[in-house]
Amino acid sequence: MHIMEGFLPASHAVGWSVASAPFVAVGLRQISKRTKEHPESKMLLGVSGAFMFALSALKMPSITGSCSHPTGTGLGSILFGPVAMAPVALVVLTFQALLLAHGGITTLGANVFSMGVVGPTAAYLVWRGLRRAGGSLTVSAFAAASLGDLATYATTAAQLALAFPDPASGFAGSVAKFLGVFALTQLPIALGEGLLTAVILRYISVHDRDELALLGVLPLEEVHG
Amino acid sequence: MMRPGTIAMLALGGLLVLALLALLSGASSSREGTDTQAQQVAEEIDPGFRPWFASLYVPSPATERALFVVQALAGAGVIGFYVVSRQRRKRAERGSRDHR
Repeated sequence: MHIMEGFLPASHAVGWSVASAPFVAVGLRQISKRTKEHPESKMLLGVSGAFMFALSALKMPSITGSCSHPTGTGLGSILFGPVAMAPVALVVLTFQALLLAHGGITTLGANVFSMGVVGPTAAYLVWRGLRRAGGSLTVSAFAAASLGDLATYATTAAQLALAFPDPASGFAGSVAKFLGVFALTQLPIALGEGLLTAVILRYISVHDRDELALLGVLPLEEVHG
Repeated sequence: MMRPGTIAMLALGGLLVLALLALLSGASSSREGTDTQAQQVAEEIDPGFRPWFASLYVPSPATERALFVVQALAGAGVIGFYVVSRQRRKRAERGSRDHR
């Protein structure tokens, strides 16, 4: 989902940066507030950041013969809410843009918007929806992380299509072309990411039940009842 | 319902897989990434397009592979530290309960 350096027109680069900036600012405030209120949640914040850091570094081969990256944003979205993932994604993507030439500084805003805003929001909405509907922690986390990953790549496809509309079929035709690149490759990677997220969250739910209750991930009555 | 021991084993297994994948990532670097394919689609749609800005630093393929491995292992290391610290805490709690 890394849009490469210089690949978005300057107006798009600025536009996506402006769109992402408030999420990064609010996310930073939210993280600072949460960790002040619940200092014990710092460890889980570190785990969420590390999870994103590790997973987004993996270049995974897929069934299509090409390779792609997981995003690792699902876990943090479930634990700290989607907005908190925007600054974490900014750190990870800046590291990759500066040291690995993956993504870029001019496309940082667009990449933060897909990986740090839309993906986490989709993951969080799926998580909340499934939990409210009575879904188990494991199944909800699996679905949330998998769909959050796919939403990230769908957003990248839309961002590229906005910048490169097809001369014949316009924006819609271009979205279909870019989705064609990502969809099949990403599907098994997204499912793997969902599985790993579910296992880690299950582990956290056994060992840090009180912290999860404080963060609102588990209902208090489930933890102390 | 899975037992906590099974979940711990699964978590540690997941970490091991993560670390192995990080080390094997280099093997898949010969495959074309979807980022590159998307770039090619953009160039097909607009053949006259040229990126207007270039990365300030482009690592050699070997350095890139090494940095990706370092990134993945650093992340996996933090998660590993968390898993080990929780296992130790649990053992200490069990130990103090047995002493009473």
